[in-house]
Amino acid sequence: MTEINRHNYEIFFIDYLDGNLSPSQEKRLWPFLEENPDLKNELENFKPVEISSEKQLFPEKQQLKKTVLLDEANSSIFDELCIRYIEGDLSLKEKVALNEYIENNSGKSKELLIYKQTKLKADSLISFPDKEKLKKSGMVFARKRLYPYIAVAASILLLFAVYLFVPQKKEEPYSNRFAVFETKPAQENFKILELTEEPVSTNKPIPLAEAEKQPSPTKINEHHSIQSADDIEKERFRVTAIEPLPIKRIEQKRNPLNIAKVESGITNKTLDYFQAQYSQEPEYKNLTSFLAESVSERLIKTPENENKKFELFDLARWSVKGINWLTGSNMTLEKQYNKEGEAEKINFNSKLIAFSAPIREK
Amino acid sequence: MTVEQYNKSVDLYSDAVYRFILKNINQTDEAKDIVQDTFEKLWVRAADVSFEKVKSYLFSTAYHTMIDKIRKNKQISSVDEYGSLDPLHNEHYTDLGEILNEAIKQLPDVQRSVILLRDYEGYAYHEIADITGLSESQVKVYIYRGRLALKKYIGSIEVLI
Repeated sequence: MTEINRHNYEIFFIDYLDGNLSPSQEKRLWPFLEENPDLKNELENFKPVEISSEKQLFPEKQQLKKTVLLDEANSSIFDELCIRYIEGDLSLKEKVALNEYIENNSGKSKELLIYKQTKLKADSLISFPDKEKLKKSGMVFARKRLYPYIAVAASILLLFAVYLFVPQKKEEPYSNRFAVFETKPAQENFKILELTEEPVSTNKPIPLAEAEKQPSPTKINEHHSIQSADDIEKERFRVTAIEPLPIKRIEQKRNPLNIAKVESGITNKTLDYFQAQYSQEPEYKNLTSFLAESVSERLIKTPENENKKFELFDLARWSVKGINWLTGSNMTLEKQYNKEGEAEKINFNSKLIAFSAPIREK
Repeated sequence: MTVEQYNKSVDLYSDAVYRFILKNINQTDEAKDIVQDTFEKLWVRAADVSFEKVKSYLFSTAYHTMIDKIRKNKQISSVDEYGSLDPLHNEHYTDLGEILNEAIKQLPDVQRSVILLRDYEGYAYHEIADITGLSESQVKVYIYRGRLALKKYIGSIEVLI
């Protein structure tokens, strides 16, 4: 606080009188009073004025009090009390007041009766008709735990959808679809002139262009011969261009062991390789049948249905059952048969989506 | 909650939820859809909802699903709306049940919901507040206004009859 002077001494005086002056301030106060005797006199003569409250009483207090909660002059809370009455919210005192008021006002009893009639009663005849459809038979999973299962199930369904909607070409087994060379040994495809023991009437070498026109090497061998070593060298360099080897598919009927009669070494090795592969794996027509068999071998097949031929449809139906089991849903996947007993459609039904797709002819 | 408890919940509460929704919107198919949606939501969260609290969960979910549907279809009536119900076109009603049904239809949505929860299920104010997302004071005010409107409606019908 600032030093005490003649301009702010009132603050010090008030604090002193209220007992709020700190010891350090009080030390400064006394020298100031000695230096200013007039102010010292003022402080000594100062007496704070106290105003004492007079105990005046309100003379008509009793008239303000209510002896009854509800009366003619205070009927505005009647509705509130009635509503609180049927809601069961009234205290005992309020109930008494309400009853007294109704007894004194016969017309009000009807109003209370109407309020009572506003209390609704549930109609027990109304019941939910599809209760059984709401019931579940699956397992309860926490949502976070369910996500991986749903992801797996969705993947399988996606696979099924691809199978169902992507057109499939009429394909042969992979084992039937490899190329082999024509049945000629490699050396037979080069037109090399051979030496003959018999001399040829003319010494003229066969022009390259002419040699190229020769129908076959064998014919060349029949009609041409070379007499000197130089001629032999020249003839070697007059070998005709290599003819392209025709490649064509070999139609495989049943057994790959009966594939073409291949004579060349390289094609035989190729066949050996495919033959070995074929003997190890069952025959799959395409990727989907491979998946169906693989998964069914591991997951679906039981000793009871071991001899059954599984298709991708079985896998899809199995996955739908799995989803039903996991989520408690009621999805169905069924084949629809025609009069001849042939499957013609696949029907899928769920709460959110339902579709029908014709079975593609393979 | 186990599967058995879930299915027991279906037996115990599906009718009550259906009645509550049906009385609110007066459309059978829509009410069925809301009940089915409600139980589907319960099934999804079955692991998180205890059997003891399933009734409140069902009513709360059904109520909010209904409000969402109402908002999609029309502008929901203002929560502060308060006016007298119109009894002039209802002279053909013969018993109190029909009169009340007609009166409850004319109540503002929020007043109707809280009164139905109060009367049909006997919920306390704070439970209704939890279900509807209102404060307890708001619930009391809406019940009060709803009762007052119903009383006036019934009284006026009696006068007409």
